[in-house]
Amino acid sequence: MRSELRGTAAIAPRAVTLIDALERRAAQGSAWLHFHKGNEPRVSLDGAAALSLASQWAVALAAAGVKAGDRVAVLQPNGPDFVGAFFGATWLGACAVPLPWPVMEGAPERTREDVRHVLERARPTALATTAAMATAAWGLPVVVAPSDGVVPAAVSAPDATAFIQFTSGSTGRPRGAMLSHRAALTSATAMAIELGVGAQDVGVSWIPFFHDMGLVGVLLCSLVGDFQVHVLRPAEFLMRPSRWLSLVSKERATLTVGPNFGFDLALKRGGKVEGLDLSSLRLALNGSEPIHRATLDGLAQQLAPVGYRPEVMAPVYGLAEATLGVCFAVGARGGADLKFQGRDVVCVGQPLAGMELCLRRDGQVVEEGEEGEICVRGPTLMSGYFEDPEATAAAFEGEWLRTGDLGVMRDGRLHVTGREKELIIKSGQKFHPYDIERVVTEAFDTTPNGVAAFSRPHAASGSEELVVVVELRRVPPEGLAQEIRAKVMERLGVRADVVELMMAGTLPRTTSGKVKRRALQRGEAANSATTDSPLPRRGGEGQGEGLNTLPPLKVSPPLPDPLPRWGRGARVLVLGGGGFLGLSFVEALKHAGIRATCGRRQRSNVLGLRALKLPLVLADLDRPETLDEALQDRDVVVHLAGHYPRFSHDPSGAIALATRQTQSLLDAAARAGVRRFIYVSSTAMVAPPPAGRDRGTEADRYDRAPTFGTYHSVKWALEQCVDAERRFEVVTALPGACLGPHDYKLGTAAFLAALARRADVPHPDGWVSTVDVRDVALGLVELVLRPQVPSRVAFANEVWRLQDLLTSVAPRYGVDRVTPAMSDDEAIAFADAEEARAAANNTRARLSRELVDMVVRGVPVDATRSRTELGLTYRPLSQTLDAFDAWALRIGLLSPPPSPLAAPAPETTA
Amino acid sequence: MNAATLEQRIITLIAQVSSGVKPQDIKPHHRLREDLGMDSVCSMELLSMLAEELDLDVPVEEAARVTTVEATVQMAQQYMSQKSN
Repeated sequence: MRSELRGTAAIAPRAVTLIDALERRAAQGSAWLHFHKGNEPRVSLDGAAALSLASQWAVALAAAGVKAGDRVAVLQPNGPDFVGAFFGATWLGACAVPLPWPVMEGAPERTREDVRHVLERARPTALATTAAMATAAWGLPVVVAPSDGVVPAAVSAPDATAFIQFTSGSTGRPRGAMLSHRAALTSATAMAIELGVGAQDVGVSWIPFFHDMGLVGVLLCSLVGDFQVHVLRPAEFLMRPSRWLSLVSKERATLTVGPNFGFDLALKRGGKVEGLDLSSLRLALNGSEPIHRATLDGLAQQLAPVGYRPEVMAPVYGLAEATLGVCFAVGARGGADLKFQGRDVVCVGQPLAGMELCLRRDGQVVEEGEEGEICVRGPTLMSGYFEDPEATAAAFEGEWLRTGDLGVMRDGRLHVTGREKELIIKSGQKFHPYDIERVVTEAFDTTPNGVAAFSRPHAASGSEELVVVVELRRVPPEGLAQEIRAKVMERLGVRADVVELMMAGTLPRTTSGKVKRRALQRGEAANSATTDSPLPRRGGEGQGEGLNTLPPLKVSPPLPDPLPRWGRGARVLVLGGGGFLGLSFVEALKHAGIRATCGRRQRSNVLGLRALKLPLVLADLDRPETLDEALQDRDVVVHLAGHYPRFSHDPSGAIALATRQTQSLLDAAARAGVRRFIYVSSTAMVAPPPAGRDRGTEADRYDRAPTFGTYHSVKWALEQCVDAERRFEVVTALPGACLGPHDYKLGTAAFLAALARRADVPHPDGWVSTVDVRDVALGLVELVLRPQVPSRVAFANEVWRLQDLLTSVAPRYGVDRVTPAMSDDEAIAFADAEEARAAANNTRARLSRELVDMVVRGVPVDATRSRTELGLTYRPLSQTLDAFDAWALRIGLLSPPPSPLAAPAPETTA
Repeated sequence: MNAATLEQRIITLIAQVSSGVKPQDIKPHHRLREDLGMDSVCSMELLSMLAEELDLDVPVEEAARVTTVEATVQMAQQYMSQKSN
C-alpha cells in the first residue's frame, strides 16, 4: 500500500474574511477571551469588544499611513491589543506580520535587534506595539494605541493575504508564509470540527499569539469554534509552570494545547498536583516540536490521581506553511507508537478535512512502512513565501507542499520521524543549519575545515539540543568554544548547547565532500578517527553526555595560518576569464588590487589574459583532477565559464555536460574550503514578472525548466545545481545584454557591431536590458569585496526593444534605415538554417539560435537591487558605445573615419 | 543566607538550567546571555527556580533587568530583604 492519506472533504468556513468571522462572533454575544497576568484581575474581551477594538486600531493604523496591501508588524504580548492590532490591520486590507514578543520584557533595543531581519524582509508600513516597546529606535511609524475616529469600511478580500507568518525568525534569511483569509479560516474551521468544539468548551493556553499554534490554533480556532479561552503570557507560565494546570483546574477547562517542552516543564516544575482537578479536560493538544513518549507517559503517571486521563492527549502535526494543522490524533484517529530505528515514534493521526498527504522519496510515493518526506496538499496551504520566489519554488512541487519533515505511515496513520531539511527547532524557533554554520564560520579569522550544526533529542530536557561541530586545521586557542557559543547567541539568539572542536578529517562526509549531518545526528562519525589523545576540554565546552558519541580528537601541530579574508586580501580564482565579460572582470579585479588567478582550459585562447599579466592555472572543467590543484587556498571562485554554443540543438547533451562540469567544480570548491562561489548566469533567467509589474527582477524565476531554447534550459539546470549547494555561500549574478569593449561576436553586442560595420543585421525583436560590460565587472568586484552580498543580483541598466535600440544607434554609424525585425518564428527558422549552413561550410552563422532565444524571450529587467545593495551606478549607453568604438578602432574592427563616428572618448577603466 | 552562599546557590542553579556549563567556570561578571549562552526561556527558568527555592515573589518584568550573574544575586538579595521587612 502506498503512503497516501486523504482527509474528508474540505468544509467551507462560515465566514469569508477574518473581519466577517469577527462580526459573526460579535453578533453572537458569547464570551471569548480572558487574559490573565500575574495577580492582576483578568481582562475579558468578547466578540463585540474585539470588533470595536479592531476598528479603533484600524483608525490608528490608517492614520499612520497603512493602506490595503501594506504590511503591519504586530509586536504585542498576549492581550487585547494583539487582537485589536492583528484584526485592525486586516480591516484595512493590509497583512498583519506578527513578531515574536520577548519572553523577557523590558529590553526594547534588544527586541528590535531580534526582529531586525524580519522587519528588513517584510518592510512594514507601520509597527503596532506597546508604549514601552516604542522607545527603541524602530525607524518606521509606530502605533501604540487604538484611536477614535471615523471607522473606514473593512476592505479585506477572501483571497488576499491576511497575515504573514515568519519562520526561522531570528536568522538572516527569514521566510514569510503568506496566508489568505480563506486559508486561515478553512484551517481554523477544519481544526474546530476535528476537535468537536462548541460553546460549552473552555480552553487554556499560554502559547504566544505570534506563534502559529497560538494564532491559528488558539485565537482563530476559538473565534470560529465559538468557545472561550483563558490566555496566559508565556513568561507567566515559564516563571510559574504550575499556573498552567492550576488554571485548567480552576476554570474547569476542557481544552488545552502546548509544545512537548511545555508539558515537560509542567511535569518537572509544576509543583504539587494535590488540589488540582483535571477531570474536566477532554483534549490536550501536543504539537509544534517532536513529541516524546516519555513525556506522555510521565503525564499519565503523575496526573492520574487528579483526574487526568491519558486518552485526552492528542499529538498533532502541522506547520505554518499549511496555516497550521495537517494531522490530528484525536480519539480513534490516533494510533499506537511506531518502533523506528530503536525509538518509539508517537502517532500524529490522520489528515484534517480537506488535507491530503503523501510520503515521497526521490520523487516517488513510498510504500507504507517506509520513510519519506511528508508532502501536503489542501486548501490551507500558503500562497507562497513573501517576496521569495526562490524559497517558494523550492517548497512546492506543483500543488504539493514539501514540508521538509520525514514520516512513516502505518495503519493509515502518520508518524513524524525526523526532518529532511535538517531544520533545527529550539524553544519553538526554527533554524536552518546553514545559517548557524555561516555564523560560526564568520567567527573565525581563518576558515575552519568544516562546520556542522544539527540538533538531537536531549532526554533530560525533553527538548532538542543544538550541537555545533567545528573541524579545525590547527589547535584551537583557549576559550574558542565559548566564543563560538557567544557568537551564535548574539547573532541568532539561540544557545549552542554543545560546541565540539575536532581536528580536520574527523567529520563524516559524503563522497562529494558534504558533511553528513544526519549521520552526526545519529551519533556516527568518520571511521578514520581512531586516535586516542583527546583534545583538552576547555571551560564550558559541552555537556557530559553529549560528546561520547563523537570520536576522540587528535591534536596535531599547528598549521600555518593562511589568513584568508574578505576584501582585497581575498584570493580569487576566475574561470572563464578569457571571455567577453571575463576580460573586463579580470581587468577590474586587477585595478581593485585583488589577487586573482585565472583558470584556463587545456586548449583555449588566453591571449587577452596573458596581456593582463595575471597568473594562469590549468583548470579544466572536463578534468576534475586539475580543479583541486587550481582551487587550493582560494577564498572566492567566480564561475563565468558556462557557455555551450556548440549544443544549440542538443538540449539534453548540453544540460548533461554543463551540470556535470559545474557540479565537479562545486565539489572541488567544497574540498578546497572555498568560502564564496560567484556563479555568473544571465538575465535570461529572469522570468516574466507577475501581472501588475512591468519589469522582472532577480526574484522572478522560472519555477520549472523552460521548454524553449537550449540556452534557457542549460542556464536553468545550472541554477538548480548551484542553488542546491549548501557547503559554502553561493552568489548568482545575472548580467543583462553586455555592451562595450571586447565583444563583437556574441549577444546583443553582435547586432551593434554589425550595425557599426554597416552590415546587414538580420534580427528578431524582443526586450533587451542593456548594461555596460565594465559596470557588470565592477558589480562582480563588489561581490568579491563585500562581506555581505545579496545571494542573487541582476545587472542591467536601460531597457529597450531591440528594434528601437538598433534604430536609435543607427545614425551614429551613418546607417539610415535598419532592416525590420523578423517575427519570432521567422527568426528561429532563419537561425536554424544559418547554423546548419555554417556547420556544413565551417563558417559562422549570421544569427545564432541562442541569440534569438535570448531576445524573443527577453524580459525587461529592473536591477534596483544592484544599485541599492552594491552601490552600482550605471553609465549611460552613449559612454558604452564610445568605449566600444574606441576599442573597435584600435583593433581594426572599424576603420576610421566611419563618417559621423564620435571622436573616441578617453577610455575610463574601472 | 549570606551573599557568598547565595551566589554559590545561584551559580549551581545556572549550571543546572544551562546544562553544559560547569559551576566552577561561572564567574560573577559573566553575562547570562552572551557568556553563558542562556536564552530567554533558560533565564526565565533560572529566575523561576530561584523564586521558588527562596520563596520570593519576583515579577516577570524584573527578569529582563537581570543580565549578569552578579545582578541576579543582587536582585535576589533585594527581594529577600523586602520579604524580611
